[in-house]
Amino acid sequence: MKCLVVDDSATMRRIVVNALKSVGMAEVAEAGDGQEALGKCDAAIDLVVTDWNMPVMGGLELVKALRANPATAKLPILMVTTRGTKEDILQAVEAGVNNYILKPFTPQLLKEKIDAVMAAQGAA
Amino acid sequence: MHATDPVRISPEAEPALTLLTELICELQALEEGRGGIRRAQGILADLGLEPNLRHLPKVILTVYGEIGAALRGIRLSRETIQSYSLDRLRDTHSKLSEVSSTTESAAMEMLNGLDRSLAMIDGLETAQGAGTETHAQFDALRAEVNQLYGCLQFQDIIAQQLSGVAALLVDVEQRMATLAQLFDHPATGIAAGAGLAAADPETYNPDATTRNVAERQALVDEAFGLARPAR
Repeated sequence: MKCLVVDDSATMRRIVVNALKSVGMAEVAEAGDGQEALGKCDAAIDLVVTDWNMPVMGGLELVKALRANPATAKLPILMVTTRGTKEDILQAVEAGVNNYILKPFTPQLLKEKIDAVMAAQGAA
Repeated sequence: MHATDPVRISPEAEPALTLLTELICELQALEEGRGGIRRAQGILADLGLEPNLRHLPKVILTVYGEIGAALRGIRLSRETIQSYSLDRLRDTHSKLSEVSSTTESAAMEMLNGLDRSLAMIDGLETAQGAGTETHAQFDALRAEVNQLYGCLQFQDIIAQQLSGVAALLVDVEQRMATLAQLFDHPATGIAAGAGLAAADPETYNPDATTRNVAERQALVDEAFGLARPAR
């Protein structure tokens, strides 16, 4: 299983990558913003873990762009962000996010959410 | 005499001003067919005798001097805003940027160290050989190191908070600069200076926090669960 981690913070990308590896996800690609992520979202990607606030193209726009493309419309997407208002959640759900994690998170929580997203994807 | 104090100017000019008012009233009455020309003539004669009108040039000079002093005060206020507010705001903004970049560099160094630690744990485990107890100990050690990785998330959150504070400083700086420019006269030649640069508000969340994570995640899960079936 290959995951694409999208975050403008290099520190945060390394932390997410480490968390993914610590829960057994060995193959991880990285992107610094939504635009770069779109270029890296090929058929090999099984899961996208994205931040919300980013330059060039934010996480919400990325999710909408992925959902608008038939090739990536069903790709599981996990939002990992500091934003946690009900309005934020509603926007994320409307855009098509499959699950939502607040920063700071634990690798255990990340694994739980990934498992839930992938199980739902398998059931769909 | 003090030009900024109208109460102190008025006693000297008041008799002449009163006579002028009376003259205007009489002329209006005359125009409307009321009153007589004689009274207006009397007022004119009294006005001609009013000695305080001779002080008018002196009053004007005094007022001019007072205005000049007030302008000097305003220029001083503008310089005070420049040196004590704008300069300090810019200095604080610069320090915030420094804190942000220093914290990021430190976090990256720590991540490098943790990467090396994990590699060393792997190396030590291989050297020790396979043993269930040893393996469990190394796993526990890895879990500790991975926990430290997670702790470094504070850097991303702090950076977003600092971006929010920096944006606030930029806003205050712009308001102060506008206020300072109100005091400016082209002749003073004091430049407002280069403005502070604000980060794109789409790139950070000023409300980012490390507090009550578990409670907030529970609320997020609840809100997500409620919003999702509605789609």
